[in-house]
Amino acid sequence: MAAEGAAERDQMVLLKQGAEAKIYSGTFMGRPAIIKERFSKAYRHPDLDKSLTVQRTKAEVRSIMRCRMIGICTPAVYFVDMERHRIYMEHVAASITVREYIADLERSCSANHVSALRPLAEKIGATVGLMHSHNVIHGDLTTSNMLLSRLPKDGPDAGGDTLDGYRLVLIDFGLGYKEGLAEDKGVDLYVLERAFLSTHPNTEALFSVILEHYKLGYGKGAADVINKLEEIRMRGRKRTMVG
Amino acid sequence: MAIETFQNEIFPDSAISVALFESVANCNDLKKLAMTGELDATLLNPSMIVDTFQILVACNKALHLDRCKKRVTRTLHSEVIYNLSPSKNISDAFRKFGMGDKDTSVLLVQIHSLRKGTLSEVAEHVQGEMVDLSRLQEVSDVNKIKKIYKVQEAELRVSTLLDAIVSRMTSKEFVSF
Amino acid sequence: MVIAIGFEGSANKLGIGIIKDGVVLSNPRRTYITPPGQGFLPRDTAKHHQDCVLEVLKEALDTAKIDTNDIDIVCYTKGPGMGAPLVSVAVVARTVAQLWKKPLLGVNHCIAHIEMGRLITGAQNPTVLYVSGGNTQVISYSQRRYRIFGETIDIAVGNCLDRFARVLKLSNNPSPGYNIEQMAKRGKKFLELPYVVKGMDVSFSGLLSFIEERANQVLESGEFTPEDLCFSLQETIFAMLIEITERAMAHCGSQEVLIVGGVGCNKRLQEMMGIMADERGAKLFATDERFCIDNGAMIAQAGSEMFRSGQTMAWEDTFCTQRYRTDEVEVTWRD
Repeated sequence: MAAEGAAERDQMVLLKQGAEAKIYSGTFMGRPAIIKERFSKAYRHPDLDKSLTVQRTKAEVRSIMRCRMIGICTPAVYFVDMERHRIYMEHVAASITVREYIADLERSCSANHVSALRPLAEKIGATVGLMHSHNVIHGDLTTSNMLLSRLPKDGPDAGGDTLDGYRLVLIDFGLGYKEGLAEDKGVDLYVLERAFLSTHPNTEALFSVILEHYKLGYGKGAADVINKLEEIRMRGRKRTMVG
Repeated sequence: MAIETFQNEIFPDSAISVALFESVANCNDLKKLAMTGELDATLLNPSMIVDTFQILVACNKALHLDRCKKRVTRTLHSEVIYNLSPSKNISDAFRKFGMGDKDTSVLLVQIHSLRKGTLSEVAEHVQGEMVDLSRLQEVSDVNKIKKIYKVQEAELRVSTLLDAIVSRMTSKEFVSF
Repeated sequence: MVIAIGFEGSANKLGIGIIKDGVVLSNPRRTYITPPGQGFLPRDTAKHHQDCVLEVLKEALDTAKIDTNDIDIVCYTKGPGMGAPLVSVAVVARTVAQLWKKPLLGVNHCIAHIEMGRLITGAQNPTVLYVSGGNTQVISYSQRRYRIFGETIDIAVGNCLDRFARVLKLSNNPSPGYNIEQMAKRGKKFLELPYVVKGMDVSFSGLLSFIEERANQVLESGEFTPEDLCFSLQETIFAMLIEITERAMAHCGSQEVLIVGGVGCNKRLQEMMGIMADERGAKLFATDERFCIDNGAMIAQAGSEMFRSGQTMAWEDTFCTQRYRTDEVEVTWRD
């Protein structure tokens, strides 16, 4: 097929195909790179499809930049090809998703894995809190959209903001945007909570740790967001049918 | 002390050649030649460059826009200069990143076809000493670069300066700095 | 062999159905239809149900040709839904259960839709999109629960459609959604509307406000016809639903998708979902209006499954509740 031929010509290897983007591994000017290519969805009206694809590519790049500037680790962006809806970005070295990390830990020390995950939960909370305090909404917070990257022992990346030799990296910002309202931040947390609990059952205690450290990372104003979160949780239970 | 040439995976029919000169006596003349279009190269101020990769990112974007006929400036050469800047102001980009007529060093950059580059011919116009590209580390003005790209300490805790710079170069159409 | 009778009246449809071992013996239904521009209110809806329930019950029994002695289990919609209508039907179910001396089971309306969908289509373990006037959820079965992966964070998609139909003053006969669907088929021009997906959830209230505010202006200016607006609304809201369904499927690694609920009758929604399913190599399952739309047989089916797996309900627990989450029920009939 034409698309595969193009990828081969570009020396890219397909790593993963999500619902709306293909993730390739390749190089950019000799550097290891990840290429995220959004593709057309045949079920969508063409105008809507084009609009969403462009919007989400832009939103992703914007959100990555905003996060970096406030000290949240994200991949560097090397090139944005708006013709083919591709983002060429840094291939974050030696990393696994937080989802895989939690699953691995669960397998290897099932009894104690919740307490072993505490430092990670603290870091996640603090990072999301920091992000929200600057009115940056991720839009799709899940444990698959967070990476843990092993830091190099020396060089400019050594030391700094770390978690036991790992750095927390946020990715997949296609649904991201900027908003100051507690409602949007509450929804962002709600999405994370649901994703967390449905993917990693019996980790309610961990999510509480995330929220505790969210407040610390956010500072003043966090209480409003937590209250909103509570309200949003109740909405599902309160929904009444209107004729 | 040679011209270095880099390939581009995205445009495999093309390549980028770069050469660094110090103790240049005729920047003024070079500037005039560049303006009349007689020099087939981009003339950059090396103190604004922290690593060759920064140049490659700018060149790739320039070539991409050129090929899909969406260039912002008049020529491929000027597009490279514009792409280095974190701002959308063209004259500001030229002022900060282009070689100044009173400068004494210059970075020559040429995007050319894979088979044939003519940077060596352009180099003949330069009255100065060609040095190793590794000298860039020493001549780049890191404080000025941080200021112009508006890179703060918070970001440097989670990123290299180079990554911060290229990310800005790439995303300036979508975010203001 | 289990014969179950199910009573459904959580919204404006009154349905009573009889199922014998997975075969629908009868499934009559009546719909309370209000004049164009009006929605249905609890009290009037309850009255409608009261007025026709006995007639529908007789029809169900006569069509099924069974004796009330043969019935094993009486089932009714415990919730979720509108209070007065739910109770008006529950009262009848309780009465006949006592009269016929049969056990009574309260059924979750959403789960009934799922179980009916599975029965009719044969889908094994699908990702379920449940869409109706009162509900919008993406559900997947795991460890004895129907877990909600994604849902609306404000109004249901059917509610959005119904309220838009009111703006256009479309007829509510046979349903506002059906009439929007027919209009949409003649629509050509696409108006860009707010598209809101947050993670695995969707939000329709912003879109509804947007289109409510602009509809008259846009129609008067002649830029768009009502058909165009119906078309644009459907294309947008359905795309949002397909997106969150696909995300859930990707997350669960699912190869089957099942659409249930009243809005599931919509052929365009089915078509779009089919395209998405094809692209993933997955299979689409959908039912027709007999079973998409609220009906009594689905209550009987879910109740039947509950009964066969040994569930019983104490008399005190046979009440109704407006709020009843899909994931609250322990799915004892699946492993």
